[in-house]
Amino acid sequence: MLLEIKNLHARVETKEILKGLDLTVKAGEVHAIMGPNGAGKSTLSHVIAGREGYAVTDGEVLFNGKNLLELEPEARACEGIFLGFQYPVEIPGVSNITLLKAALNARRKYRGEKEIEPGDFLAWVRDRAKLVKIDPKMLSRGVNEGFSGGEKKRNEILQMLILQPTLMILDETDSGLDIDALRIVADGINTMRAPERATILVTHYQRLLDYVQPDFVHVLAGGRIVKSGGPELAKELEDKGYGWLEAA
Amino acid sequence: MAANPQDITELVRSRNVYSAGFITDIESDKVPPGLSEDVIRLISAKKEEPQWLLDFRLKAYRRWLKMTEPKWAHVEFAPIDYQSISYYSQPKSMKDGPKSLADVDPKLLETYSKLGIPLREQEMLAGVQNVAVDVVFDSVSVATTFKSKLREAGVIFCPLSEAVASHPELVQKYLGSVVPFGDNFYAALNSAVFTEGSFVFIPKGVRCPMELSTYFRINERNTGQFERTLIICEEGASVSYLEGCTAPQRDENQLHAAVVELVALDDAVIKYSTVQNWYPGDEEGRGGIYNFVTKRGDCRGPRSKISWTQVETGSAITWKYPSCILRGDDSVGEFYSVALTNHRQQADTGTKMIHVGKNTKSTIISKGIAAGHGQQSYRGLVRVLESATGARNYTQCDSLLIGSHCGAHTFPYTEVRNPSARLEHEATTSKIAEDQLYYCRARGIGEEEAVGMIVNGFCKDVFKELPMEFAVEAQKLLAVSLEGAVG
Amino acid sequence: MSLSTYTERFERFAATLPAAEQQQRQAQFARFLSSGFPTRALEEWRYTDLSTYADRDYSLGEALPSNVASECLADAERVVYVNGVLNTELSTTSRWHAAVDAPKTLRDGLIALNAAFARGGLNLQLPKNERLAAPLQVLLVSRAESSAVMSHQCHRIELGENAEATVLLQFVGNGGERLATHVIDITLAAGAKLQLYRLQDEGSGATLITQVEVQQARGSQLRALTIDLGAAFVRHDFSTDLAGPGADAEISGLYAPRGTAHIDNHTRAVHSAPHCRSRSHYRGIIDERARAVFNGKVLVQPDAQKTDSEQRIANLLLSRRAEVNAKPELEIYADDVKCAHGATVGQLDETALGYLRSRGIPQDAARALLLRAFAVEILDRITWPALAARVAAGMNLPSEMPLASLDEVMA
Repeated sequence: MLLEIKNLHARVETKEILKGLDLTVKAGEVHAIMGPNGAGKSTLSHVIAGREGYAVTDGEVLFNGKNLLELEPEARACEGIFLGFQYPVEIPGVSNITLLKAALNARRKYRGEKEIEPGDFLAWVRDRAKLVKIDPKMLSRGVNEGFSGGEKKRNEILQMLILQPTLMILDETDSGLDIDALRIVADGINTMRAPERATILVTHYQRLLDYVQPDFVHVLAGGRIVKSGGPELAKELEDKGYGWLEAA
Repeated sequence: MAANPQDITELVRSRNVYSAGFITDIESDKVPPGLSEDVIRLISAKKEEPQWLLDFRLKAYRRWLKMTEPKWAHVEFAPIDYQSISYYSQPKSMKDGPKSLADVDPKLLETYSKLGIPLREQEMLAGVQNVAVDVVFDSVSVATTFKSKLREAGVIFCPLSEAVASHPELVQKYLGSVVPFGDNFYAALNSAVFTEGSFVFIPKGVRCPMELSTYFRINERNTGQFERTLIICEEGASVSYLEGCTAPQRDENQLHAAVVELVALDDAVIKYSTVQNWYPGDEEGRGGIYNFVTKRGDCRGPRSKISWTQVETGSAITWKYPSCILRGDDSVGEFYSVALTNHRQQADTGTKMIHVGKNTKSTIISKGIAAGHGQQSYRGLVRVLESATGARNYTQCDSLLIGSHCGAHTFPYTEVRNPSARLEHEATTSKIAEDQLYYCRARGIGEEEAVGMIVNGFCKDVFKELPMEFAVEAQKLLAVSLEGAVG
Repeated sequence: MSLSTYTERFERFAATLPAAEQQQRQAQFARFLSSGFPTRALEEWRYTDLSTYADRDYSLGEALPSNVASECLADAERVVYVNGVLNTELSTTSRWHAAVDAPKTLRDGLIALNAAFARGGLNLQLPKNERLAAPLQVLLVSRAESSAVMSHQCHRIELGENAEATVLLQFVGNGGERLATHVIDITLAAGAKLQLYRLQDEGSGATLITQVEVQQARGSQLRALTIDLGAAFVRHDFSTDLAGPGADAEISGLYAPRGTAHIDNHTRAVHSAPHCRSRSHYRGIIDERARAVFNGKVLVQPDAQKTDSEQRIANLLLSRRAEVNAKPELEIYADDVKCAHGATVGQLDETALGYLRSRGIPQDAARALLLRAFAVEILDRITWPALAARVAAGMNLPSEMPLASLDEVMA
């Protein structure tokens, strides 16, 4: 079992957002989490990644059997969790390449491996940058600095390809993308699909799921998973919206 | 193609008329010039004040004697002879005190009507505004309109001297609690000799039903005006207060050293707007008012808010820093200012924002315009104390220079002792943009009008904070003060 | 204010001087006695308090042996002073040393003190069109052993027309309580170019007062960069007068005080001639119980039309007990000018920190990356690699991947 979430309750400031959420993800699976705005989708992503300001009041999150909630955000990343941000952060003055190298070496150190050779590192980055059509020149600029919305999302995918996580959580990675960028992002995600890895796609729309076929679709509403099914559920949601679920 | 500075200067010279510069011919009862404990006792006796107030004055006077004038402001003037000033002047016809508007000297009423202040309630009601007005003429208050309507709402709005008699406990509790008697040289002088001013008290939960307004006018020769205003908003109360000032055209300098104290308790909101048009002196710098004023608001309660808006076009010298002490958590302070100096006018004005409480916020927008030989300085302090976690400040101060003999200066102080504070300060100084001016003129707009438009645009962020009638007046005033200065 | 200990020290010092010189020194010392140390009542000294210095007792520093090998930058010529005395063994050249010199003008009591006790210093004079082949590293070492020590030096740099030089004034020291004042008078003739670095990495116990005064003629170019690290009590005044049309000055600085350090930077760009340009960019990282003061002034004189000036000051406050006072001033008497300034105070961006951590970078490393990102705007102006490395090491900053090599591999 890669990820097990049991009865998760979490709040932001004084507001309870997750109210007893259960979710199990096995290696090799792709899960899509859909739901109306304000249902708690982004909160779930950040609680797994360990963002500060999100207080877990009850329940547990196990990753490979380890209690994830005890770990610092960087330790979670080193354990193999990757969150693709809905709003990637701009960090002027810290170049993309510096971020990538620091992140990759942090992971290697965590596993007791030695630092990557500079030549190997650059080759590794170059090949993956091509995959997501990012001009290597952009990598010497500050992290996401002056990037367009689409470039930021592709940059998230690039980081994912370089860091090779085992659990990928992509928070609204498809929002605001034109069709070409959407394809590039989807290709990146599909490249990473493997029996030992799993993916959680957090999305509001069916669109991305045309390119990345999920094994399971869950509906998150009012802080809980209210319905789960196969890919056909996403189609149903696309046709009927979310209203019928609340009525039911 | 663009405004030639010489032409501009020429225009300033030929066009400037101080339209509020008439003198009212009224006999007045004036204390002979000079300052001593006896004079203070005399003022206090004339106003039939209680002992505690006389003691307050004397304490301030004794402190003042030991103080020196502040020297740090970017202004120059000949030494003031404090013994040549008369510290109390009252129109003779007022001596017994008017019981109603009918008793007020018609000449006084005429003065105010010349100033464009409709004093009679009927006129007020017929006019555009719903504004209660207190008028201070030299040292005494001549009329307060709309008293009864305000009384119904529980609002006290009256001359300070009247409040001393009718609500001594409130005056005693709050007077000097924001600006202590020895705060600075001019405030100490004011505390010793203040003669009039307004008192406003808005009780708990009351939104003042109309805007309150005071008009100050210095008429008498060789007098100073030392008014003192005290505004208190209890929990959840709010008020918008307007202040206007004019003085006649005289060759000698006259001193105006006022003190304004604002107190906002929990959730209270005070908006204080000033259009200051004291006589600025002539183009050679003769005469004009020395406007040395201490204005301070105390956001005592959580979530309270004090907002200062000022349009300063008059006075020979302005020394004025309306400030906010943000004591209550989540309290808010604002300062919006347009200051214009033309001819030989000098202004050193700005604000102080003292962040004490948590998550306190302050905004400072200052627009300085210097023309002719005018000297214009913004001086502002943003201080974040150790206790003020989460404090925020945004400051923008821009200066516009018109002509090559003026000066525009910026002295922003920031003092930060809490690492969670965020402060941003931006300032620019430039001349009126030639391309903008050219563009307007190419569209057929006269140079003067075009400059007026551009200057108004420059000041827009401040004007929009003024109550509507005041905003219109401020724009007109700016146009008059700038006439010529800008083409 | 007593100043009596200074009088004693001065009398002892003056007795060692030739009679002719004594008279001049007496006058300078008298000036110091009448002005004394500046007090906080002066606007310029509002945040820096020297009131306790009047009663201190410093003996005039002597040439102590000193090991500065670790501070030597390989590619530079070097002049080394220890407690104000030239050390010929550690220096690679004595060509630029002058035995006696005094500040050009006694602007205030501190400079008078400096003038009264000054014992010579750097004297770099480059004739027309000459270019200094190697950068010049001037190491100014202060050392105190058993008793408190003071040293006072006056330095001079004069570049002839179109002459060019790179000079580093580096202040280091250790031991007990010590006071050092340095006055640096600089003249740049038309078209001259000076790259001036000032690096201060003194330990606690040091009080360092440096005053740089530059005169810039037509078309001259000044690049001045000052770095303050360490834990000392420092006041640095930097003033340049853009006195010829087309003169250009870029003044920048980075201060990162720690412990109980006090760093006060005062900069002043005076535009006396038209068509000049000045830039002043400072950044501060204030940690622990340190206190930083920044006062920047741009003064535009009446005839200095077409002035283009900009001041930027940004501060990061990292600790609850740290403090910063900043005042970027403008004083403008000409109308056809473009002058702007901006100042910010804040803390490290928590969102950026969270993002870096979510990528697996430990908190300390992420913080260091962000601090580097903040400082890099100033650090990138150091065009002397050996010095850049020295500064980065002094600040414990991670090194950035060399981007030139990146471009090659990625291409």
